Amino acid sequence: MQSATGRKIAAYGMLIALAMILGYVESLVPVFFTVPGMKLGLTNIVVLFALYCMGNKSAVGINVWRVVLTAVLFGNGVSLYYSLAGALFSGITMIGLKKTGRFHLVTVSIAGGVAHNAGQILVAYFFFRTKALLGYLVILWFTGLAAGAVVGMLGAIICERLRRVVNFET
Amino acid sequence: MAEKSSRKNDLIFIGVLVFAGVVLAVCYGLFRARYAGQGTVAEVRVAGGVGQQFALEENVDVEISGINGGVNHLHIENGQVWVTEASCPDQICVHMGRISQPGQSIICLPNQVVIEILGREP
Repeated sequence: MQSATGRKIAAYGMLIALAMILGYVESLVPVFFTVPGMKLGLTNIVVLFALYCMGNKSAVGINVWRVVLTAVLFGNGVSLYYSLAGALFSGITMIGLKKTGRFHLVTVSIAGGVAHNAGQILVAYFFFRTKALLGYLVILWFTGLAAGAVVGMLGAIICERLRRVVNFET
Repeated sequence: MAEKSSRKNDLIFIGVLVFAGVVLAVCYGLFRARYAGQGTVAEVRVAGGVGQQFALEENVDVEISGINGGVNHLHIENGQVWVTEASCPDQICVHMGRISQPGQSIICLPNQVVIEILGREP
């Protein structure tokens, strides 16, 4: 089925591009620099959309490609490890929670936000081996909760609306 | 998708997450309390290596060589420690501002530099 493959590739490309743009837009907003490492995680809207409207595999694929492409184009080497850890931790957490079928999309997003930040601190601990990182974990734990909630609510609205207009199931 | 979920599960789960965060905060508080008193030394470590120490009573201006040729400019004045310049693109360590309390730290990810304030040993 060639047309299905074509559709899939087009959808992937579009969503990866969108995720990268959202990450860039986010980096322009200085308010998120007040706590180092703090992010709103707008790209996770795309991942949530993929997770709920396309499937687990697509969500992982889009997120990993987004991370790799961003690192190749704009990264500084080490940043790849942090982004990958964040993507993998939040990805595994979100897929696991979604699979139970017991939680709302917003809850899945919140858990993903926390897991993303915890994963990054874990990588930082691997590099630095200092307990001082615990302070950042505390801050990022709560900012991850808050950011996950905001992103989850946005994601829920977007998923709901888009699913009425287009069918991305592959 | 999400329609099947019940609100109760979600509230419990989020509650657990918040509680875990509070536990972490308490752990961090206990960790900080171990360093009670005035900070006396700023310890600088690169890539988790052996620390280089600077007394906070002195005024210090020093270039720290991180990994991959990165440089962070460390400044100590009036018991406060901060990074004035850094070679990295994000400048997060510069934006971290000034630290003076034991347990506080400035971290530069690209250069793998950690500046941590240590308290006096009891």
